[in-house]
Amino acid sequence: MKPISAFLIAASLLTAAESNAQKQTLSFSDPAAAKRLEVSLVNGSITVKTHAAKEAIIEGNVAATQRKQPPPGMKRLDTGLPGLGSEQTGNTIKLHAIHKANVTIWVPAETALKLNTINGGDIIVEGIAGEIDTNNINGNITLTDVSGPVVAHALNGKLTVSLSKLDSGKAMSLSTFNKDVDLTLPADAKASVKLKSQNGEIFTDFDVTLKGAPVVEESKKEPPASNKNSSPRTRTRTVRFEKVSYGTINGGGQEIQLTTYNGSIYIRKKK
Amino acid sequence: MNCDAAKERMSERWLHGLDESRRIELETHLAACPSCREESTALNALWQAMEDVPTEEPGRQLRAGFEWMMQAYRMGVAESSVRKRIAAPRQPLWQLAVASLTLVFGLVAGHLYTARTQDQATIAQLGVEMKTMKHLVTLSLLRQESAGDRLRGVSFSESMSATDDEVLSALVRALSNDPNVNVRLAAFDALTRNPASPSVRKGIRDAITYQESPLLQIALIDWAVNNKDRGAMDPLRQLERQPELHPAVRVRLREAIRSFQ
Repeated sequence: MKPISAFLIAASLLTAAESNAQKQTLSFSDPAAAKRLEVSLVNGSITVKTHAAKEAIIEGNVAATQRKQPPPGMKRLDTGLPGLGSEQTGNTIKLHAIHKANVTIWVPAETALKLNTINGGDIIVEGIAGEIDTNNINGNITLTDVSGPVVAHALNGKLTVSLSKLDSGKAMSLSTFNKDVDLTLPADAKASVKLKSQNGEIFTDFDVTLKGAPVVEESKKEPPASNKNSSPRTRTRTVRFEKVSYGTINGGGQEIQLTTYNGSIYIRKKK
Repeated sequence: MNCDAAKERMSERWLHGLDESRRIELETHLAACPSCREESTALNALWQAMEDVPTEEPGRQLRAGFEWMMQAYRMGVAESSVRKRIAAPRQPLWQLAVASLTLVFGLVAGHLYTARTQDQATIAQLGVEMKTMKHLVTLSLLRQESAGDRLRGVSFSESMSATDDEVLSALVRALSNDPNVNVRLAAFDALTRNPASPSVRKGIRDAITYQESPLLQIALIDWAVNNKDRGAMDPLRQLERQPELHPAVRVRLREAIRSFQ
């Protein structure tokens, strides 16, 4: 256990706020072992990119608009807040911020990621080969050229995932509520998909073999006994469509579940 | 490490291997604990045996095919015996061939039949052990740190022919406590594949009041409506009182409550 002072980063970010973003380097305690990065923001965007170095470089930008200007003749005392907190336990680096903060982090490609934000920004990941677990409430999630298993949920934003390979053996699941789920797979990817879009549609340029037709359920609500003789026109009628489809791509393989409520689902062949 | 943890780790090892430190921990425990060592040896043998099992078990079709061949052969023999009155004296070689063919055929058929009954016993035995294995693997996966592993645990549970109570309660726990919304969603799907037992019903009704994800809230509301679950009425009303409910969820919820009235 080696906690790294949040104060240091916060202090460096204080100066960064007024000028430009400031960089901070954190090392994983065992560069050869499995590495993990967890970022949890309330308000801001998270971008993760890869580099050849063994450590993590963090570029944080606490928005200047969030800071009060010192009254005339006064100066700000640097108390270490607001800013970005960080802590390191073994090979896991954790970053968190309550105030508006946009962060960009460079890590080795095989780092596993857990990224969460709520407001005011997107989550963008490029080139990561580790497992990705990510959640964004009001922004988009865009994962490009990733090759680890992905479990992602974007409640009100769009979820776009492009996989450079698919052979992790772990299950994948992508879900949104309001916007589209857009997944790109290598042309030879073998996958067993479970697709569910309540109000949207499903598009693909793969030959997806569907198992059985989508289930369509219809239930009629019978009128109360006292109304038994009323005309059929006054009956309450509820029609429900349960839209779950199971299918296979290239004969089936890795399990992938795609779920959305109001969005559509796209499964694209990587060109 | 205690014995329970060691057993879990054995299944984990078969599932996706262990990293160096976890493997050493397990081996240290095995070296010190005779009963776990014995269990580990038995499991190794079981997994080896499962790899050796033929992928298809001899079924009815094979039997039918065999009978058909036998019939065809008998007819062939009958036909040739008619001709034999003339042909046999001149072709003793042919006779010998028929005789040896019958012998070979009998031997093969006999062997196949015995092998088949033995295989069936082995398969039945393996079936039981496989079930225990799946049970262990599911429970172990559902406790992993990685969301992808926990999702696999959920789909493993779906591959079990009859989901036992322990796995069901692990799935209910996942539905209520899992930090990942996608895992909760998958656990809910798995729980509702079969008609819910009273305890599962209770777990799902409880979930209605505290699930915060609109995707799950709507799935739960739909479940209550489709199953005409009157016991879900109170939780649904409680949900309706939540001020920050997503508009789409509120619409669905009102529809649902109306449908119960």
